[in-house]
Amino acid sequence: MRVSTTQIHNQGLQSILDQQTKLIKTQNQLSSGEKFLAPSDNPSAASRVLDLDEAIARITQHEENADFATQRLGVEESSLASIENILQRSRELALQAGNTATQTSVTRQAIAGELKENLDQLFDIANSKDANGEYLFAGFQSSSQPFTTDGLGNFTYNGDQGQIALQIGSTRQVVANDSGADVFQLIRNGNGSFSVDANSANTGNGIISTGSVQNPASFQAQDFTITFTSATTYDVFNVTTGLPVPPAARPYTDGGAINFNGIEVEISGAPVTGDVFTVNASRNQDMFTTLYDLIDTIENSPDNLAGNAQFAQGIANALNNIDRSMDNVIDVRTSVGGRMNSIDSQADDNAARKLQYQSIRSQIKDLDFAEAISKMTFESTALQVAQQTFARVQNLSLFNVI
Amino acid sequence: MADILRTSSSGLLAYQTALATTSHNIANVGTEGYSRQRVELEARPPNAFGATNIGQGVSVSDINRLIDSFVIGNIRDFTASSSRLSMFETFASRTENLIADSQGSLMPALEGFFSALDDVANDPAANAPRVALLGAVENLEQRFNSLATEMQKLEQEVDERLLFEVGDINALAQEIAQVNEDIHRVSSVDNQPADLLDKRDQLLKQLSEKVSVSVVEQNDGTLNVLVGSGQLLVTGSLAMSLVTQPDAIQPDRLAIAIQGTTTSPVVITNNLTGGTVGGLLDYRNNMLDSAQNRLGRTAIALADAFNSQHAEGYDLNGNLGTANFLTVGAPQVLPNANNNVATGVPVVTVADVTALTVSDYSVSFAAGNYSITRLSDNSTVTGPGPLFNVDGLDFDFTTVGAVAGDSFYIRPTRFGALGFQSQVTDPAAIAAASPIRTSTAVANIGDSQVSAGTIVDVTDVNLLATVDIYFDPTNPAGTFDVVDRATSAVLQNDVAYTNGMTITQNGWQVQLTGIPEVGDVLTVEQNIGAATDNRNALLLSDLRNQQILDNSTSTFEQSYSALTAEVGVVTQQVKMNLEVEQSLLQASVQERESVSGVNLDEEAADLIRFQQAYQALSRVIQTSQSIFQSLLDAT
Repeated sequence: MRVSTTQIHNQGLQSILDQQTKLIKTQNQLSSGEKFLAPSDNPSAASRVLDLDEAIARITQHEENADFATQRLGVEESSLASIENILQRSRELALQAGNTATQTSVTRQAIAGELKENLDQLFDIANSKDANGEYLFAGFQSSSQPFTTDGLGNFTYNGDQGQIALQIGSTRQVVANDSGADVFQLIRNGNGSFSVDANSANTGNGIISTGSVQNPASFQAQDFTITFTSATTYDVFNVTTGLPVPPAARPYTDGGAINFNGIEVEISGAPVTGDVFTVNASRNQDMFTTLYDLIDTIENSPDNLAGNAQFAQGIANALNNIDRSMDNVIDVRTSVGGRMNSIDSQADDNAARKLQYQSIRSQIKDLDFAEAISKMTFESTALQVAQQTFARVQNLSLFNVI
Repeated sequence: MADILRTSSSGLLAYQTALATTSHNIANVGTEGYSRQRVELEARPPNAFGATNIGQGVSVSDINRLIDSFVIGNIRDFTASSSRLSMFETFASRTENLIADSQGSLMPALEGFFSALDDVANDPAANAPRVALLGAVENLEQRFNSLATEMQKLEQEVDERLLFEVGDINALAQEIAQVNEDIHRVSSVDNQPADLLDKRDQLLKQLSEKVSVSVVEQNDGTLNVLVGSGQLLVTGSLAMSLVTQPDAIQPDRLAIAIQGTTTSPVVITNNLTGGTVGGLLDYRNNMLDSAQNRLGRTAIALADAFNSQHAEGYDLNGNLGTANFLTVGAPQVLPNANNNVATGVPVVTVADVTALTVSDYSVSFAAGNYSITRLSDNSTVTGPGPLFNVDGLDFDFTTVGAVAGDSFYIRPTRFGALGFQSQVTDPAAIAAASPIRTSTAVANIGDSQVSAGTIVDVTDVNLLATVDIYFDPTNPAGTFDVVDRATSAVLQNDVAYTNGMTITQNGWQVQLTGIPEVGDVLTVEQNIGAATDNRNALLLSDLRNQQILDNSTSTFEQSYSALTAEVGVVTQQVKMNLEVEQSLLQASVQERESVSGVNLDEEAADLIRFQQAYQALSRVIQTSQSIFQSLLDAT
């Protein structure tokens, strides 16, 4: 084939330019560390990388959310631990106070004093704030103080029952708080099914036991009174329906079982005619009221036959209610612990998936440096060859020799 | 006796011409488009001398231009196609860099936006995450706006370049006409002016860089040049001109028309192929429009989904969330410039973002029927209207009053991203909470529970009314009433209770669980002061996972990565095709070079050959002179 001088020149030049283009591309790859620089180099991989980046960013956000949830729950958990300690101490104090053999009215006043401290402390915890200045136990109403009191034993919850959930996985949310209502307020009094009490106007020294539900099938959440018609007989009356519970004039024995409505309670001591005992369906009673009532019982029970019975009844009821409060706090703590565990397991899951995505991304996008460097060496050699060939060929001309 | 002197002087003249041609070749070794020339020699007719013929020397029969006209045609074609692809590639790469830039693309802004939403959900009562979210929204707005603006600039640049290229085409057409005339003047059948032909071929090649042309040779040596689907651009010494004018269908872009000497301009935009003009038009039609629409659609869908979810929330100021948090550019309706003057403009609105396509639509009216055509696949809906719902778009022709022949061009999503704007500046106006909350009364004896509730109809006027679910003792056993607390109106009476049942009232829905007792009260009420409520923020953040676009198959981020992939794939194809066309062009150029190109060594050899012949002939003259001298001396 005939070759023109321009052709020789252009071809030599073109091969130099081609080699330079390749070299520049490899150089760009090396300086960026990435296999492809524009989506058109590999469109499907580029879009896959975008999707992976997005998935990684999402997991990173979920990790941040999980950290946030852990912090919130950590603060709550330590508050709950304090509450448990306070209740535990209050229970011990109630038992001490109830020990009529060892206590005098002076030592009881000291116990009441410590119980007051406990109540204040509990109230403080209920109204505590987190690092952001938001009330911990106010539900959604985190900017207003959740619990207030009139100082007369009435405690009001101003928050709501809202629970904030945080997104810690693409389909997993974790609840990061418990409302003040759930922790402090919505606690069933008595034994959880019903509560007992002796009427404060009683003149006998009868005391009613906590009792229990014997036959859940026939138990109904209704209110009853047990009224002594004589020192040896009593009637049971259903306050909710307004009907007496037959039989009338049941015989009383000291410490004997009293059965109605599927429950069993005992009254011991010597009630007198007109004494009334109440058996009510359990109501919610907040733990402040429980402690307040306990203090009231210790401080204000009159020192006489009926007063001592009231004192004993009050201590027994307070112990029951403190136990219910403890149960509730333990339930909430267990739930918090469970949630923290689930955050941990989700965190492991998140980390594993993130690592997996990152390694896939790296496989798709990251440059194999060894390969790229050897490619660059090869390409620069090729460029040198092209340049030398060009110079050599350009020197060959018949005009040089004629 | 033969005339040695005349014979040899004919040779001298012939080789002078040969040497001149060789030096012409050498001189033009660097001239683009130059075809080497060769002197054709032939022996002159002999003189009859008795029974024999004696040669009379040599004459130049012709100076040949060594070409292969088929190869030249190929070069023109390949020039047109590689120049088209090269222009397309330039713009495609710029678009691609714009969309895929690691910082400038939409992706980081979208990620930042959703992350900021999560941060608000983490701590809805705090001001800082809310301020950060507004910042992220602003950043998203800027990304959408600047991407759309950059794409608009590309569109404007296409127009500017078209204007420029059309000017070049007209200048080249003029020159070709002029060369045609020159050739016509000097050429005869035997004597073609080689250098002028080269010049014309070169001009045609330059014209092919601008637009595909076809060439028809005429008997008189001139060429006719045709563009588009056979419109004459040059005929003989007459050149038509291309003009640019606003497109009748889409007036914001340029159309190209051809203007004859007497006739009015004929629009040939869609017939032009190849060259830079073809590349610009292809880029505009095949990449830019679709990229703009895709980006716009993402913006529209994001704003729509975010607004409707936000409207179901409750903000820190105690208001329902605004449904106007984000605004976007509305669908654009372009009436055809040739429409009847009394014809109005239809109203097109987005009704359902999940069904939105990235196509533009054209509407034509004939025989009492509107035809709405989706331009991506030319599928058509026809009917008298005046209301249509096509691909998630509501078309309203009520006040149009079209006459036959009227048409409209609709760009539903083109300006979505350009108009993307946040309307909220107050951090407290971010509706992170739910408008309602539920509670169980402290005095309840039963352990019935009410779920946090969901919003089913945020427009219900009574949404925020306090409603008690009351197990009224006067009711039949196991039933409850739904009571408006303020008016004591019984909204639902004696509803039988089952564990796990749902109640819908006033635009909300709650689930009831547990075992209620007579007298229990469950309350659903306005969520006042709920600073820490993040329920709506969670739902807003979950939009990230919602497959909303493309008939509920793509998330927002997927739709953007699909845009990146689409632009990448087209760019990749263009690049690959460009390489193919360029190597074809290169092969043709080499083919031409091997026929027509000057080889200096060859010319050097010719130079020596002709020089030797010239020297020999000089010696012949000297010989003839000495013969003559010896004759003179002998007398």
